Amino acid sequence: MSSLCLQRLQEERKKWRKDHPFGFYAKPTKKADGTMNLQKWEAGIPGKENTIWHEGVFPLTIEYPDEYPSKPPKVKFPAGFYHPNIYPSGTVCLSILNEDQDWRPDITLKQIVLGVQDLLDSPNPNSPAQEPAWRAFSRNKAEYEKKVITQAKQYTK
Amino acid sequence: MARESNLIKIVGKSNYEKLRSFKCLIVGAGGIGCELLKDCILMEFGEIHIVDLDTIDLSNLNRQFLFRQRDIKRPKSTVAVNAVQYFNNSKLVPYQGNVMDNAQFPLNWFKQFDIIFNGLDNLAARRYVNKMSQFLSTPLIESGTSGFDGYIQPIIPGKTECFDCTKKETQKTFPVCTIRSTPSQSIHCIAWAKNFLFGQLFTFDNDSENDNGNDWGTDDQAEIERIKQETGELSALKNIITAQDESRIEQILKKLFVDDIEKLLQIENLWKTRTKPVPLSILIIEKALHNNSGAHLNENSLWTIEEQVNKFIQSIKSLMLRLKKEKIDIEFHKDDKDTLEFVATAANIRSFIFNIPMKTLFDIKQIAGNIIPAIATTNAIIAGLSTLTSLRVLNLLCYAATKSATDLNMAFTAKASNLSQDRYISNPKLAPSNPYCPVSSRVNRGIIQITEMGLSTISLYQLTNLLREKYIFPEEVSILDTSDNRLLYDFDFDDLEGKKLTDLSLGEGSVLLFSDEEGDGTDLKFKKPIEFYFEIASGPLENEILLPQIESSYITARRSLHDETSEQDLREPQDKSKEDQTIILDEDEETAPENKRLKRPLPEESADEVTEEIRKKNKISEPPAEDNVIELD
Ligand SMILES: [Zn+2]
Repeated sequence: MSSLCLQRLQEERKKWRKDHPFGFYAKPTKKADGTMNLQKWEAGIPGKENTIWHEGVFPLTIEYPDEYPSKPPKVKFPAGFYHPNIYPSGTVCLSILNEDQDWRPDITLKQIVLGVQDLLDSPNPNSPAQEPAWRAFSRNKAEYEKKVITQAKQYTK
Repeated sequence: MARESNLIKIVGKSNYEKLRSFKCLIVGAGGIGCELLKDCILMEFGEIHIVDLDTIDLSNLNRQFLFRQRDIKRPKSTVAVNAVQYFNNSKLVPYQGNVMDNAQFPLNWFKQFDIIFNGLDNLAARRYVNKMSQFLSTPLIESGTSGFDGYIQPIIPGKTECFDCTKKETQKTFPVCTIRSTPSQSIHCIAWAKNFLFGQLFTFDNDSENDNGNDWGTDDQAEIERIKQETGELSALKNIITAQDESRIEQILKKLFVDDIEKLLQIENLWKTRTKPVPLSILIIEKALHNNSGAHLNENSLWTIEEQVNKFIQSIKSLMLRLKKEKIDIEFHKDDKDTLEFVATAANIRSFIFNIPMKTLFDIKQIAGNIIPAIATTNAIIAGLSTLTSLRVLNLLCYAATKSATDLNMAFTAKASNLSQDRYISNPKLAPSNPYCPVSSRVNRGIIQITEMGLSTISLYQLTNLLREKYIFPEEVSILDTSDNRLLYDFDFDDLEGKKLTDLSLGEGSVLLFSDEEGDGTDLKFKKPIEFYFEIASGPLENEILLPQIESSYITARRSLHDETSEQDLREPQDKSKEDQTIILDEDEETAPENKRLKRPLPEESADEVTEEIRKKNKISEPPAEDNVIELD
């Protein structure tokens, strides 16, 4: 890992501490030796108020590659997370997290988690990433909403 | 006339004596390293030390001119030193080892050198040597070549740009769906043949490309199902290979180049905007099967599709035989004729099907073997420039004294820089250090001397306090271990405060970055971070630890990270690290390096406005890199 990567990540940590959106959390994970691993973070994304997601705080892992910030971090929910645009592995697909699309080295952790929160209640039906949630969302809204609410309860605040 | 007499004419008698007293280090004994060694000997450096991790490989012999067939598998550094003895007048010291191994090569070892020459082939080692040079203020001459292109960059710590002052390219990766379903460039077909097909057919353990949990780079369920099914069916093909059943090779051909393509065609969504592939004609397969002439084909000519299929069949037969005899996995290697021919012909047949131009065996060898062709002449020119420039760096030219480090020149070939086609080499003056560079500008450096006793009695808490007091840092600080990429202490993390340094595995060679996380209250001025190298003291020390004298200074916090981006974008005069790229795709318009230049720095705006802008722009996208890519390594 380059110095640029490590120093930038510590800067992200400082920024987050100073200013992060209400209800969110984000912290680096610990290595086996008890030190902190700045390349792998755990975060929590609260569902927005007045949406079917509002009861949950959804766990997210954020992994920064050695080439960060030239390359974007990889952002994942737990495998099997129920959402039309989340891959079965849990990988979140947002243009701002794609090197070939809208990723820019100056995008901050705050911007990423807010982007993910937005995605929860505004899925894109034209870009399915998993079968179950996508099919329910486009053909059976009632079933979809029920599943989302059940999942939110599972990750309750 | 003695060899040194010309040299004395150039540098003068007293400078010649200086040269004889200088020690230089050459990092790497490969293409550039061999040339550097020869040049440094001819320049009569007093001592020349040369480090290389590798042993000699057959493919090195065409350009690493100090090596012969009999040297294969022997260490590069020692063989190189033995080979030059007959014209040598310097003390030569070879080392086989990784220059980044701080047990074999601690900072103290680097201290003995007056100048360092890099002849490296990877980014990590280049960055490491750059950092050591910055720690010791030892001049470094960085260099690299790629085909007919090359560059040299003298780095004078504290005065000029360092290796990390400019952005470096990273390697390009491809989504699974591009490789498996919708190739559009020959590189995609080569990746398919080498990283997917070859592994599936000739290795016993297929976990290397396990599809579980993959992201596909596509949201088309039908396509994902097809890819999964195809993987299953390939294990059936492998049975044909392991059974060494030549009569069923026809099945392999039909499956890969006819049936699978027809299945792909059924997924209509894929072909709305793309040219449809055309399955290989059964006629061609039949003809090739009954034509076992084994024609001798030239690796530089483009074979016909019939010849490709014929060679493909022959290579499967040879590999079947080997699999049976050797009973172990066969691995792809560019110098292994059977494996190369298999991959090249499979890739070309697939290219043919997808209307992509085929390539010669030689070209595919370059790409699949992940080698950018190395050219002996370029290495010789670049190494020559490096050593000549060292005379100016060491200020030994009696008629052209070096007044300022920024009067020195770098050099790069015209093609590497996309500048004028009329000249081969450009040699602009060196730039001062990029003010945003985290390696050469936004950090101070020093060496902490510590005893073994100190390591086992001093706690992290005590160390933090010592540093804070000595360098007058505020209450809130952080300590990063940059040699091991871990955070030891900061404002929200004091779990480890009570631990002794040994319990944290700190010792000789550890590098700690000590940063001000608070500032001076104005929110703009921070203490410049300090990076410390840990060195075990040779004798006793008062208090078991000795902190270096460092003139403590302030840096201004960036108003936003935008500054950094725009700064770096402006400072991208050339692509210096081509050697680190896996592949160079010169004929494609989608090549990675150009894309970057199109990016514009963000306009100035507040962070929240940016957030808003990004939130509006958010859209679902192809999955990000890593679990959906095949890396071509
Ligand atoms: Zn620098």
